Amino acid sequence: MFEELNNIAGWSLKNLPTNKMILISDWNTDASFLLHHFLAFYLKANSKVVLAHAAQSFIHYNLACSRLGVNLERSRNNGDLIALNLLDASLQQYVEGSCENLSLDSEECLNFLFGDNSLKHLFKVLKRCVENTKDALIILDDVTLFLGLGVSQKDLNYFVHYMDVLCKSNNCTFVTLFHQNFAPNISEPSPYLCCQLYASYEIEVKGLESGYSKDVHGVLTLKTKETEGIKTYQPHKVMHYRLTDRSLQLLAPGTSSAVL
Amino acid sequence: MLEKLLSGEETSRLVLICDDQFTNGSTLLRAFARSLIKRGCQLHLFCFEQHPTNFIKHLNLHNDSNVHVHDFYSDPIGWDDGDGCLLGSRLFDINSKINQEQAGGSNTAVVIDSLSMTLQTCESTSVCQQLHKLSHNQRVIQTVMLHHTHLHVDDVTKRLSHISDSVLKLNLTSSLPKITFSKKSIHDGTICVTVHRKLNGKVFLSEEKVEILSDSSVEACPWQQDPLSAQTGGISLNEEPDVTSEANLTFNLNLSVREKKERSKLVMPYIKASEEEKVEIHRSTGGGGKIFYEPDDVDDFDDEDPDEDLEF
Repeated sequence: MFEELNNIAGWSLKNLPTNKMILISDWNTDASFLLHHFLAFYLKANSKVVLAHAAQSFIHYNLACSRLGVNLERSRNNGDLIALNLLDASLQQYVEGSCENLSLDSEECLNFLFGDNSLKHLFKVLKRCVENTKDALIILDDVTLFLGLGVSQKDLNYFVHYMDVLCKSNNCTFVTLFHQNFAPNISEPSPYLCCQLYASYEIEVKGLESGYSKDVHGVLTLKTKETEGIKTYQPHKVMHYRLTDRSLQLLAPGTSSAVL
Repeated sequence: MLEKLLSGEETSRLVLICDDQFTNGSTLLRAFARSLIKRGCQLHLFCFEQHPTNFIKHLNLHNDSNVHVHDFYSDPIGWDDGDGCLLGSRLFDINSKINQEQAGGSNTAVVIDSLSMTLQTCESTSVCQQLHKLSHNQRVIQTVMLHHTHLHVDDVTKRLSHISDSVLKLNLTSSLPKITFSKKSIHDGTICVTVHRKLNGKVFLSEEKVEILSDSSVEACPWQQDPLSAQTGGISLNEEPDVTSEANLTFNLNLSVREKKERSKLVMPYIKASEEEKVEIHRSTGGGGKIFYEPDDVDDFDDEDPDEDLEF
């Protein structure tokens, strides 16, 4: 896991963010490395993790997390990790019309592909996974994909609302990824703004405005919601980051070794 | 104006609080709820965005028997095997709920947190009709509702503003979002722009700087934008951001007290301390000029007259 990110946000293995929704958003870049961080972080803290993946295969997460010191295959066998393979199930259901050889949970999740077009079943499955569990983590990779699979913005907003209810009632945390370069239908509330409304933390990842640099890979902004007061956010923390296989280096803007 | 609306000194049957991404209107909504309860109203609380117990907890009430809760947060559309209170024919019909729950009395107030989910589920025109009916319900003395302007198109905000007696728009004192990596924000202020329509048709506009205290009470004072900061887009030229946050930098940019004293003692090279190197030019009183010349070490001063060999 990325220690520097935890230090900046005030998190640790003994101080996990619970009862919260964490939104990871990116703009013309890929912030999925932060999902690997949360996977490794919570598994190292011996919390239960539910990984609903529709963007990448399980092998991808296993490889990425192995570099961070966590074996997802072993965690899945131990029961610490529940992996909902929405990627394979969606392809199989779309092409063949059924989900043979897949777990019942995955099949139920994807009923929205035909007819129903709502994420109600996915919500119910996720709720069942975290029932009677404390400090669990639900990761959904990623929420923007559903908009391309026939789910309306309104239904996605309802889903985000219900995930917020689930977090608060079951004392768990929900982490999801949102790609901001999705163009919303302006007649309905934007799902990104809806996610922002419910999220207690937002980690926004963008590329450098000045262009590509091999020493600095982008800009990471941590936005924390105020609990009291009229202002929505505490002052943002803006940092440059450099990502390697095993670590994430965070720098104050302009202090990279390439500049100084 | 804000404090008059809160205390009830100014009558307003329908109050609309508008916030955006950078301002949080629910704290002002709680202030209104608290003030209505203190005035002895029976409060009907419609919660869509947070659990009612969370809302009431922040009101810091000793006795919440005057609060009637309508929970539209936990299961608004029946996904969790609930009754789906927001769906179908059981739409957001506040009037019938109020008329059912109270046999008599005209001291009812309604607080709605917030309108976004209802506006998603129903047409904005039908929501406006419901709210307009509510504002004319004789049993209801005031309805206060929260609206997130950034989630909906401008037309929806305009419709809601049109039916409301008072519209309170929360803005930050700077139009720029607060992006800084220092711990202290450069600008610490939220202003509330209030447009209030009296019963006689007069419209009042006020801009006030607002602060919500820990007991949900409100402090408001008149606010005027500094002309200089208006030109600079809200950035004050006198304040310097604290960019030397030690958490992020690996070197020290600050000076210690001793270093500052030594710096003040430093003499600039262009100031000549020695008076022996000065060249003085004086004028004599007899009218003629005299030149006082002090030769340097490298000057080859010859007393001989160089024109001695010339014959004139």
